[in-house]
Amino acid sequence: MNEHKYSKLHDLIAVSASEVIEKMFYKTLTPVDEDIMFNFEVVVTISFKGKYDGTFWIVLGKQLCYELSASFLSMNAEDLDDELVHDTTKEIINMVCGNVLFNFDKQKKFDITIPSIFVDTNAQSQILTMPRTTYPFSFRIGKHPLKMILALKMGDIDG
Amino acid sequence: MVKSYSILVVDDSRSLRMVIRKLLESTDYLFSNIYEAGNGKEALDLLKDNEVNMVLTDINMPEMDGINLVKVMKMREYDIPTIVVSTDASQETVITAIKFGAKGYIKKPFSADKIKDVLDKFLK
Repeated sequence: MNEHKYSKLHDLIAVSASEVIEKMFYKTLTPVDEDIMFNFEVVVTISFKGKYDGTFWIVLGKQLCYELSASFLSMNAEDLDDELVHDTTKEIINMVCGNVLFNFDKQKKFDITIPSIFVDTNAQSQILTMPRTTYPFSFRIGKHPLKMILALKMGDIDG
Repeated sequence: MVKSYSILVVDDSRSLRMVIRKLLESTDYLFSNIYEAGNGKEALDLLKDNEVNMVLTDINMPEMDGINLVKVMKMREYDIPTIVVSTDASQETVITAIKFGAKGYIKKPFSADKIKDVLDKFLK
């Protein structure tokens, strides 16, 4: 993928993800230009088939998962349990990926899988299973970093 | 006397069901029951034994998805307005859902106003 296409894809993912994070989680998602590295504890993933086939990951920290869940559910973070936070984190990737794909192609449907979540050592292992070619996009929500990573199975993004 | 309604919320995400429940409870409508189901099969089980005025359903769920739920509801001649609430708002999916009996569509992410709009349209 050339730089122009990568930049367009970054914009599309940023716009689609921002809409979800602002509308449903009442937070601001800020794109970061460089590929940031950070200690993460959670990886959520979802795969899709349609005009393009691929997999989408969100990599983030537990504290951010709790903050986003608390905001989504209008609850205090200390009243949440892990199960509810994991469920909410899976809903984040479901909505973000769905919105990205909708903005790719508003006509044809994509089949998307039920999201999976990996925590702690399983999250680290999940990173090792990623294909060689992925497209990472870095963001911040407040002080917290997160990464959205896309892998396409076949072909490349048009235009 | 103020009329009260029963609503069935179908989504495999417990947190999304909680959000929709809170949004419903924040409206001026009075709900005698807000039932929850994690997939289409659970929804059909609930519909067997309970009077429901409206169904809000996700599409992408394990066991039985939302499209199959509206199909079966149509086959069983349930006269209940069913609104799809999904990330998949492609023209192809919306047309399929409407063809099989859905009365409306809310794209995730959604605002509280969208939920209120469907209540106004189908419960008033």
